[in-house]
Amino acid sequence: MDLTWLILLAAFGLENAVPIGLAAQGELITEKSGILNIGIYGGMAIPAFAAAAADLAFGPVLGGGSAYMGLLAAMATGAGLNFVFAYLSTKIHIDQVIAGIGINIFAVGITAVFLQRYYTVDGTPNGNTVAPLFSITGLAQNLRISISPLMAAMFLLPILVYLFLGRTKLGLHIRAVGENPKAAEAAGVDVAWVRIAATAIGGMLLGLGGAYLTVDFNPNFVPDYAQAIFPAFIALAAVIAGGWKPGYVLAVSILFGVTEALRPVLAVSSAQGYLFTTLPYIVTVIVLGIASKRLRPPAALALPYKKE
Amino acid sequence: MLTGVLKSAVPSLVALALGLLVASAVMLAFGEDPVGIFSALFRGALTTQFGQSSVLNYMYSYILLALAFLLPGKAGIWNIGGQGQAILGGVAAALLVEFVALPPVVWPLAAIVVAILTGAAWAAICGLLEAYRNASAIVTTIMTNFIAANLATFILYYVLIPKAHVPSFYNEVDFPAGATLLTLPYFTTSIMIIVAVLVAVGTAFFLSRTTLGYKIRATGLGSRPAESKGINPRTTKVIAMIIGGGIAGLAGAGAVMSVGHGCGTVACYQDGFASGWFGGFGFAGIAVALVAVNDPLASIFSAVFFSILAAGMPFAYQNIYIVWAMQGIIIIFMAAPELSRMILTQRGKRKWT
Amino acid sequence: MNETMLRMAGIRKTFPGVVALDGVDLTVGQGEVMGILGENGAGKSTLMNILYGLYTMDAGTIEMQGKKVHIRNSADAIGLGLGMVHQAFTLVPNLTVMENIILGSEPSRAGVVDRGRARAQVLALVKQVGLDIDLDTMAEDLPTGFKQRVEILKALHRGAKVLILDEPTAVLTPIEAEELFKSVRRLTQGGSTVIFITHKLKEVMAITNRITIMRRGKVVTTLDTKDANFDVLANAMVGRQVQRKFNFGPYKPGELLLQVEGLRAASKHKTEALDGLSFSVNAGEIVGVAGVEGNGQTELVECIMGLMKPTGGAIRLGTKLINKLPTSEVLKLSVGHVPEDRALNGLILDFSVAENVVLGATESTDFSRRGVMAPRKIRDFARKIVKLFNVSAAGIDVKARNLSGGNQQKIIVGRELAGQPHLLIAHQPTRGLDVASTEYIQSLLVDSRNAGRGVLLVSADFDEILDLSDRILVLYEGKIIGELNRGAGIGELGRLLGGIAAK
Repeated sequence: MDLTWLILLAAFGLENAVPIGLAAQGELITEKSGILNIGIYGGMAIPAFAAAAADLAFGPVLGGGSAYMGLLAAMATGAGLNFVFAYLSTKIHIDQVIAGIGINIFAVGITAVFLQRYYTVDGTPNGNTVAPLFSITGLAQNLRISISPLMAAMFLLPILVYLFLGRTKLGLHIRAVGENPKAAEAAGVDVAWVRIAATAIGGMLLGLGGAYLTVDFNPNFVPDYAQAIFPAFIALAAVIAGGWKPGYVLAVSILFGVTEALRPVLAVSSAQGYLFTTLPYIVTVIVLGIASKRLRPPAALALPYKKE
Repeated sequence: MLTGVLKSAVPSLVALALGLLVASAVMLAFGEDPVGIFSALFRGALTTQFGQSSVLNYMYSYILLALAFLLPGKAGIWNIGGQGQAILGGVAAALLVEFVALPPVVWPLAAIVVAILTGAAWAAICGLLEAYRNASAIVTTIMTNFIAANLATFILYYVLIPKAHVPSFYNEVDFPAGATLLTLPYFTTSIMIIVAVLVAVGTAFFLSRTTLGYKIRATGLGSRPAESKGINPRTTKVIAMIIGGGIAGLAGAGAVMSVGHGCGTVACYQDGFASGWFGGFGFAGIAVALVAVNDPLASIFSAVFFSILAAGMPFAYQNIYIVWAMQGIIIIFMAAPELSRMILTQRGKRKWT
Repeated sequence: MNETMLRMAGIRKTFPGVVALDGVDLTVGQGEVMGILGENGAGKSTLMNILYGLYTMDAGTIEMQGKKVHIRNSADAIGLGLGMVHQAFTLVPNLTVMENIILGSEPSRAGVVDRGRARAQVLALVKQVGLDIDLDTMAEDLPTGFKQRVEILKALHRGAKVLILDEPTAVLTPIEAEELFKSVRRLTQGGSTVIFITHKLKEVMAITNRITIMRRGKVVTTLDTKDANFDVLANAMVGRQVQRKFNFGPYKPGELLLQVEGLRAASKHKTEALDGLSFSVNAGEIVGVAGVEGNGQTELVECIMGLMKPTGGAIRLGTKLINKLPTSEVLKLSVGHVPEDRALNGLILDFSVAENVVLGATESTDFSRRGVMAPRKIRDFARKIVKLFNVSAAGIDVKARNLSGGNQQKIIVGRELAGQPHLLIAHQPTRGLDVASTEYIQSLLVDSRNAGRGVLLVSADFDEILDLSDRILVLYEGKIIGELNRGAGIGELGRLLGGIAAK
């Protein structure tokens, strides 16, 4: 029996899963603190642009290492953007949902504008890419399968996130303010700053997920295409379908990545492919509908908290 | 009275001004002349026939999708799904037209009714999930937007184009003449703008003067007192969502059934809806509603502003993307009236330190 | 008394329009259990909130171990060794017992919680207090009694030397309460001081060394527990002000309007909020349901109004069984309802007066036709209510939010009476109102009774209950533990409220 297609599915699926998995872990940390970051698309796209820009800017100086500067730039931009968002929503009491929508629309516009100005009309920068950890050739159809450090990070992250939330002081505070901010405040925890920290840390991971698409996986950033390739809302869906548990969220991220790979691997027509694209969202809506009583979202998710 | 209206418009005007300011800053950063760009934009949109028609063409979608967002909002439920409800409404109208031949007049009317029902049914899913399964519509409407967009594209390529009356290079589906909407005299756009204004007026009347509208507002502003006086907040939320979805579905029908201005084809809804998920009309509608502070009549005026921007950009040789960036900024400022106030007053300055 | 641990002197606190504390003195000795006894509104909680830094006092001094202290917030209070266990627990449900105890004062190294050290610290405390609890259970899975233990351990982990327990047994079963008493005794043996706030006479007799009795923001008396008995305490707790005079007609109860039999209901906190209670209300009488808050009043009213589903028993309006009817149907059976907490349940604060008076009545042909409202009729009706019930408002287009509490309540009562209901359920109808509004609302209830309506008055204001009720039912832990007739002695009411059933 020819297992080529299975290998292809696994390879493509895992590649697709990397940005989903990285971003989902970031969104998970943020949501655990009670902030629902609908602006997740902006949180990936703007840093992705920053990564490409840094990559290009440092290219002449650092050569191949410039891609890593891109990763750093993306994490910094993601953290910065999310910091502003969280500061506005916790200190200035801006509505989280509306601000999130605003950030997304802003991101769509501003990244497209910058790309068009910075690069060619097609907006295709040609920067360096992150060197793979190792590559395997010849498993299937002379396919060269590369394992990127970011893919390794995707597998490692859930453990780190689990330990961070479970074992550190900040992690404990994040879980407390996301569940019962009033109790946390009574215990002397500063709700606003813990939420800001959780959102900024989440932003770093969103940025990393975005950067994967510009300086690693597929170094293209085409304005019109950008929205389609950033699986931001699939990451949001993965957090929910994974029940806010780091390990499950990784599993769901991979599952969603594989779903996306079904279309090219099974070589279905592009029209039917659109149906595959809906699967992660359908799964999530069904999970919400059927298991909403058993799912344990952070109790204070999306609820603003004002000190009395 | 008039001063009251002006006063309540201040945060909106500040947000609009700040949006323009940020856009200007971006233009300046690229060494361009914002004054020249904006004057070309306004001149083009307002003084040419093409520009005016284009403004009206954007406007009806903006108005209807603003209503689709704000009406459920009055009941305290977030409908971020106007985009998806409109897309499916448009596709449903197209399916009816392509598969069922009806006499003129009845044909477009039937298509519109089908579009409204489809949008309403799609919205009802999220309404029911929030009311009875405790699944926030914030999340489910976003998810169903993507389902709708992909489902619609599938239907376009797999069902509609193979069945199209007139095959075309551009993956478009021309509508038969009897199934399109009337076109306005002088302008090259359909009567949808009139429909949209009427719906806005109707929504204002519905919310302020009918018992159902009253119940919707009561649920949004105080679900507990409403419940203690026998108004069921769950049912009311679902109903509000259904009405909102129906209005979005109507917008979708307009997008596919309007002749003129390059429309009258199913591909139109692609331009307006399926592509550009965030720059799409559904999200512009949210911006319009927010700037109108969720007032149905004010939405008409707020839609004028956004329509001029969108329709005028080509005249300034500017890409529509800068309008999206502006919309984003405006939305963020509208989300925090305190933010605008802070920028305006001294009191705010202290807060920053 | 031992060496003085805490002294509060001349404490005064006013809220807009109300003097909550008026020159209160309190002295607590080291290692003793000090009981603070009083009914709702006596000022017990306000006093403790001042001590814990949640309120600032207008005047007075606080000394700890002889030194004057300034307590500006709860962090200051914690720093001084004060710990408070509130009636509503402040646990984070998805954290373990240990995580809850250490939250905010975690032993840690480089940002990582030192779990070994934390466990050792907490286990030492557990042993010291003699509380038995599994540290790795999720807080949400704990029974109520255990949640309280966590709260106590939390306070001790922050180094509390003085522990304030606010109505600690309100949510406990008798066995759990017994366990609590044991721990309190162990704590004081270990040198801790406990302030025990309660309205329950038995408890205060059982656990305290000394008792301070408060009424209307003042200390009535402080005495050693060994010198106290139920009668002394009950009389001191429920002293009466000048009795208000209302124009009562002769007491002639008419037809049966409301009959409740063996009603049971579950609540969020306790499994059994209503424990098989039975009573009836007839036309032409005011039946007062007295009780300290949290004894099942809310659940009782919500069950009758269809806002909550009973788990057993029967509720009949006239002869019609209404257990399963939705609220809208119950309201159609000629029932008026003045809900507790007018701002939360009674009015839509962002609606105008005119919009509020038709809440729930828009479908009536008086106010709408074929789903379209008749603004003129609604406005006429609103003007009528405003005039008839002496609402002082700058017009009927003013938002309810901008009216005083008294005027808000007049609108609610007016709205409910306008429907000419046979039965009126009034839940805390005068709470927080000024004297004039209180008397006005109360006189409306008396007028309703004289006009032949049945009135079910649920109130924690015992003067109100004594002044207005033809019959008084005392609700205690979900049961009616006694029924009194008009003219009953205060002592007897005080005993019943404190959970001592009639002899």
